[in-house]
Amino acid sequence: MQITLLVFGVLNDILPPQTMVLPAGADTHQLQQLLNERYPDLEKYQYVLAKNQQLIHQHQPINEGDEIALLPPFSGG
Amino acid sequence: MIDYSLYSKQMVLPGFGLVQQQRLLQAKVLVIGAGGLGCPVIQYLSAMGVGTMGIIDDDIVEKSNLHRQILFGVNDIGSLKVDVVNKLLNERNPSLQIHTYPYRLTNRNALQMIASYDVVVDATDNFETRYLLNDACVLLDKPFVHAAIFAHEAQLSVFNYGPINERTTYRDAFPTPPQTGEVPSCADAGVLGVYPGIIGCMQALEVVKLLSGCGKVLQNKILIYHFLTHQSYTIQLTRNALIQYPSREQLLAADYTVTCAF
Repeated sequence: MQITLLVFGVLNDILPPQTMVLPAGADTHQLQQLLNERYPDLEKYQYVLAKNQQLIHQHQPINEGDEIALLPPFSGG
Repeated sequence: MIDYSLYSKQMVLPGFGLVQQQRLLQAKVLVIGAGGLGCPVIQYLSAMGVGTMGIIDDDIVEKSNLHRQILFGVNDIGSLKVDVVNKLLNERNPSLQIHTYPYRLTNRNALQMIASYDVVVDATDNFETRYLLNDACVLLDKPFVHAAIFAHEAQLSVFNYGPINERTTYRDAFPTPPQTGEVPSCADAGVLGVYPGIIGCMQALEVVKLLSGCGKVLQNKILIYHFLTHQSYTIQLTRNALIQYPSREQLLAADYTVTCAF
């Protein structure tokens, strides 16, 4: 299945926004594992996930066409 | 005697009139940080007639501040930011009450500081103050308007506001504070002078909406704004059942400088 990955803040230095193909039945935990393999520096950062513009507090199943955003906190003021 | 003619051009707007203006005049807003975000927030809220404003910042004006912290000029370098702000605001609109605090928000003074204000503005540049003010606002039942910038993007949100069982906070969005140095500040990551001006004005607008009842407050949402494309992305936020907040005693005993925890 194909998903859209959006990336914000400091994570823009680690990976680009992209469309990704995931195995059927994958969840957000598997997505994070896959991203950590491809972009090992990602593990150094705190960030939260949003699925279809809804912040998720626990891992969730992913469906074809979902939009997943990686959102780190921003510091400066 | 209040001179309403100062505010006449906003009072003729549909949805914003005498009642809304009076709400601003009666309001007390605490701005934490008089830097890039604080400057536009402070100057617009005072110009628009927010009756009482507290401003807390322990910094002095530096040359490298001036491109974005537009309340300050070269003659202010070396002066306390709050002293410069106090003088300016008193000249511009002497009918308002301005209280300035030339120190940092700490776990020892936060509850006392925030208690006498209606709304808190998070214009800080660090996570320890942000998590501290978050927890203090939860304890004191105060809404706070958050903004932050990283490179060409900004986040904006109104936390701890709305029906009590639906309210979300900064900890619901970001339960785990980042490590020191993990997320560079504006000073380290760079910032175009206009960025905090743009997002600080949006932050001031949320304060005005919240106080006046005009418009829809950005509660339970995080708005992410990209300055170079003008694209925005909104993320809905719900309560995270796992989050715990400190009691008054825990907050007073906590060391936010190390872990943002209690």
